[in-house]
Amino acid sequence: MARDKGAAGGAEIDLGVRLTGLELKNPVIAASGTYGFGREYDLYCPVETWGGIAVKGITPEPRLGNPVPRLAETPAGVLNAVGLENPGLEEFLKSYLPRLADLPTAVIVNISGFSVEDYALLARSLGREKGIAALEVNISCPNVRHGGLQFGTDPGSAEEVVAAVRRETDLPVIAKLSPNVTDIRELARAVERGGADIISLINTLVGMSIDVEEKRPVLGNVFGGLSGPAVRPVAVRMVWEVYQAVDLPIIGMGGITCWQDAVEFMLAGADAVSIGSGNFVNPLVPSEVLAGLESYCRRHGFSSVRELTGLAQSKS
Amino acid sequence: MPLSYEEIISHESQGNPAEGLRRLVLRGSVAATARPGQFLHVRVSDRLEPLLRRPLSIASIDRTRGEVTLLYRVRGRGTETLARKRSGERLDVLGPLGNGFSIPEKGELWLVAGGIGIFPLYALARAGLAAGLKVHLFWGGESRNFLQSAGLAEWQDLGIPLHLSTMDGSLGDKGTVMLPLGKAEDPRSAANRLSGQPLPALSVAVCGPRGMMQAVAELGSARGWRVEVSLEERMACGVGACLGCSVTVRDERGRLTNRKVCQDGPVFPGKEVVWNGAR
Repeated sequence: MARDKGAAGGAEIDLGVRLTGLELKNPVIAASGTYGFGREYDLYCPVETWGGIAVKGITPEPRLGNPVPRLAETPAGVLNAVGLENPGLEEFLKSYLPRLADLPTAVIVNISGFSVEDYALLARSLGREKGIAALEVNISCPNVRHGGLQFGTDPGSAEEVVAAVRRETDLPVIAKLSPNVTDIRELARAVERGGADIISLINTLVGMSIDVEEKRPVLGNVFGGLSGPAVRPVAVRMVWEVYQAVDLPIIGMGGITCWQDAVEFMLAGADAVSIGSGNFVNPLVPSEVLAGLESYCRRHGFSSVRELTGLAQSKS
Repeated sequence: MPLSYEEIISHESQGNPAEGLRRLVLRGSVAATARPGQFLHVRVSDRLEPLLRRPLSIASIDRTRGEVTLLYRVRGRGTETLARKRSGERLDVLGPLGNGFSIPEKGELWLVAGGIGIFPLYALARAGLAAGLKVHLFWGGESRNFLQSAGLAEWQDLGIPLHLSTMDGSLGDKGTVMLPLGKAEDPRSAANRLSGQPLPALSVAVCGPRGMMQAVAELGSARGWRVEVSLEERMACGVGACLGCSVTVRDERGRLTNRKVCQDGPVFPGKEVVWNGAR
C-alpha cells in the first residue's frame, strides 16, 4: 500500500480499534494475570494509558492457588504456576468490580471454571453487571488440574464452553486459546462455531524447570506456563494461522516488550495486542508501545493502526 | 514512588571475595522515602536476559546524602549480571516497595538475623537508635570470616550489644543464633517470674532462613513478644499484580488467607505466618 509519506507527517494517527462489539481507544491491552485488578501499577503507569485491561481470572469459588514457588525464570522468559488464585465471584462482585467499573479504560473480565456450568454461571452473573466491556473465556489455563486447559485442547469442549457463555451474555465474548495443541486453527474454528466474538492468543506454553542442585522441580506445581520473549515466535505464528482460519478479530499476545513486537503481531493478523510479562520488566511498556506504534504509522504512511492488521499475510 | 533511575555511586566487593558479597550505593529519589525493611525491584539488565527484576533489600538509608545502600550475595544469573554494573551507570529501580518494619515507640528492639538476613536489619538498627530504643543484635553465620565480610565492623561501630554465633564456633556461640537468643532471653524471663514486674515491651525483628524465623516467631509467641519477620519469595511484578509471591497467613479470625510478600510484606507479624503451609 504505497502512500505519500509526507502527507501523514504531523497528522494524528487513529489508534482506535473496533473488535466485534468491543471498542478500544487504542489496541494495547494488559494481559490477564499480569495486571492484578488494574490499580497495582498506578504509580508507574496510569491505567488510562491502556486501551483495555484484562483482570485476573475469576472462578465461581475463591481459590488460594498453587503452592510456592510459583515462578521460575527461564531464558528470556518466565514459568508461572499461580493456579488461578482469586477472590471468587461473590467477593469480586462486591469488592472489586465497583472500583473497576470506574476505571478510565475498557475492563475485560477473564473467567475460568472447572465445568461448563461454572462458565455459564460466571457469564450469567457478570453479564448483568455494569462497567464490563467484555468477557474473556479462559479455556487455556495450564496450571489447574481439572478444567481450564482441558476445555482448550479439545475442539468439542471448547465450542461447548464458549456456546454456554454465549447463551448467558450479550457482552462481547473473547475466547482465549491455548498454544498447547496440535492445530490451533481447529480450536479457532471451534470457538467461532461456539459464538465467540473475538479470539485472544496465546496463553502460556506448558513447561517445567528443574533445580539441578536440589534435583527436583522448581515449581510447587511441577509444571507451569511459559511466557515472555521466548514464546513470541510461536505466538506470532499462531496469530498468523488463526487469521487465515477464521473471520474473527484477534488479540495477539506472547512476549511483547516493545513497539516492534506489537507491530509484528498486528502485521501477522492481530487487531489488538496484549502485554503480559513485559509489564514485569518495564511498567512503561504500554506508553512506549503506543508512542512507537504512532511513529511507525507516521513513518509508513498509515493514518490508522487498523491498517496494519494482517498486512504481512499478502507478502508470503 | 515512580520508576527511578538511580545513579550508582559505588559498587564493590565487600569483605572476603570468596563470600561473594557486594555493596551497592545508589543516589537518587529512593532515599527520600525509603524505610527500614523495604526493598527495591532492580532491573539488572537493559536486555531481556535475565528477564525479571530482582528484589533487593535496603541495607541503609542516608537521607541527607540522598543515598541508599544495598548489600547482596552474588548467587545466580540476576546478581551475576548486576555485579557487572559500574559506578556512574544508572540503575532502573522500582521502589521503595513493601511495608517495612515497624519501629516501636518505646521498649527494647531485638534484631535477630541468620546469615545475609542481617542486611535489612542495619537500617532498622539505626532507626531504632535514633528513636531512643535500646537495640540488641543477635546474629548467626557460618564463620567469623563470614560475619566480618558481611559487615560486623559496622555493627560494632553502632555500640549496641552484639550476641553472635557461628556454625564452626570461630566467633561467639557454636551453633545457630537461637543459642545466644536463648541465653539472653532466659534471665530476662526468669527475672520477670521472680519479680513479677512487667518487663519493658519487647519488639523482635527477624530476617534469615525460614526455619530460623519460625523458631524465633514461636519463641516470641510463647513469651508474648511482638515479632516481625521479613519473608522472601520469588517475585515477578513487585507491586502485587502477578500473585507470584503469595504466602498463606492466618488472619485475626483464624481463617487462612493469602497475602503478597511484595505488597503486603515483606514484613509480617510472626504470629500470622503459616510456617508449615504449602511450601
